Amino acid sequence: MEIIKAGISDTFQDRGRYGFAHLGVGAGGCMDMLAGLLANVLVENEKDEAVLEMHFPAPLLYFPKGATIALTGADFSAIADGHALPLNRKIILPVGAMLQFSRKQSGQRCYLGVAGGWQLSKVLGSYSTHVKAGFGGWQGRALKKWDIIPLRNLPELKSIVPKVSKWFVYTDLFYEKGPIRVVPGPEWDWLSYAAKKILLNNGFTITRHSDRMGYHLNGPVIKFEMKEELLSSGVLPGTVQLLPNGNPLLLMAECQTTGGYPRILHVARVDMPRLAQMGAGESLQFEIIDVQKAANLLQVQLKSIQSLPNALALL
Amino acid sequence: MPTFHIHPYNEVSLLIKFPGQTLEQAHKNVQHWFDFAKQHCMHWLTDLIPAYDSLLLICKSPGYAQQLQYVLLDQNMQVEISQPAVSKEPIKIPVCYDRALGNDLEVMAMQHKISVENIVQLHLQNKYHVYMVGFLPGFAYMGEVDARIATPRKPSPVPTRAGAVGIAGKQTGIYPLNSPGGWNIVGYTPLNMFDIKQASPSFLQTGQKVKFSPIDLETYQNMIENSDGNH
Repeated sequence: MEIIKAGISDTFQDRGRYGFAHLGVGAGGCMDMLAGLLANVLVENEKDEAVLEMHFPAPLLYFPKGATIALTGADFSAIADGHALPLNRKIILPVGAMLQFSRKQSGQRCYLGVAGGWQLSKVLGSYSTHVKAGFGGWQGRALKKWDIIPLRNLPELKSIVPKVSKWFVYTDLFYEKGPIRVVPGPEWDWLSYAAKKILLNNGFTITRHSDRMGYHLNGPVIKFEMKEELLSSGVLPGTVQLLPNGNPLLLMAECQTTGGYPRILHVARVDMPRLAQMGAGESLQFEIIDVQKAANLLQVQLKSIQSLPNALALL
Repeated sequence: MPTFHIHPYNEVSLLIKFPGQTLEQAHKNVQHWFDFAKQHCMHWLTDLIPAYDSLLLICKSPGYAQQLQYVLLDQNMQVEISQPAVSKEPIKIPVCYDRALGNDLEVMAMQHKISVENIVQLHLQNKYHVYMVGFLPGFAYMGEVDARIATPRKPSPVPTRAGAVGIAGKQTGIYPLNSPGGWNIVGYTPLNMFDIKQASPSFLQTGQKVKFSPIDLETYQNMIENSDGNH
């Protein structure tokens, strides 16, 4: 695969890097884990294979020997050799195919999976690119023009035009509408009753200062009282910190492992993929649920995604 | 029996805290639970994040988080809190305080109204404890520096080089990578603080003791040339 034109931020990611958080290395990985996983499932890869996470503007990609691919997540109006390519299907690209993305229709992050994966090596047990530290993925960085990343496999079938599977995976269930569900964080009770009400009854806008590390939110200022001195302590993707200026900072996939701001909320895991597909200018509202409910919702989501490979095997 | 709290942090993780204890005692307990969890709880865990006065346990699934909470609450009845560790030899870290490398010593000297030599001497004098590794891969938070050189962070982060040894409040730390940073820089170590080629990629880990030793510019440059670090 050759990069003819780079996108604004195309990085290889996987299900994350585990076992090094105590050394300051967070899990990272796909922002939208479900879409990343689905891209692998559709091309019958192992679930921990690398996928390419793309933002818009997305890259222009050349496949000199063709490839069996799948696109998931955001809809960037993919086109190969003049044929529009739909999401969530298996697609066989012919020899010499040029894959481009013409317009952002919905979502923020599109995932490309290829059958057999790319010729990459794992670093600390993962393919994920850690951009800040410069390791993992392809040379520890976002893809650049003229990069050539060989595929491990050639496509199984030859075709002279892109061949799109008739079946597809219906993903609307994974991206529910409605408020973003949250559970209380350790410093939730630093907020007064009034402050909690303001936080839960108002919408917040994702600002332009938002990336794979976190989303800065804009909305009514949340006042809080320092109950005690807060020493830096562990944080996770989904943790909502309240900054001294009263604005929430929502941590995302590539966040730091520790932080010193009050952790007022955590986004329920089940809603992280949906959040990963939201971008600057979009608004969200929080709805508080208890940890047990968050656990149940996550179990249901995991079960439905885990059943996918079996369902596809029946086709 | 020292009290501890173990609460769900989110649906897949647990936060252990030690309320009402001094930082020293709480951190000893963090160490103890960290060691215990590494030995006995990895079946449930993907990751652990020890910090100053807390330990975050990240579980493989929501079911595991619930199970582990029960296991640990029950375990407390039998666990002996470990005695203060016998004085371990500190890890020596060479630091070049030469102004030719570019540091903030002169600004700090004006702020504290003491000489540059004094700051260096005070920074060298203490033995430091690694409380936590966070912020960046391999970034060790160490404490405490002498009150006379405790320095607030810069108003906003500036580009900081790998190997830079800084002070923020009473903490001292080393930038493992080139990064924006707000700590005041006293010197540079030629050692590679984060190396993905090592089985344990971070040079420092929570619970270790550190002592800095001064090196001159020539030694620093020789050591840099002979390493393949992040510098």
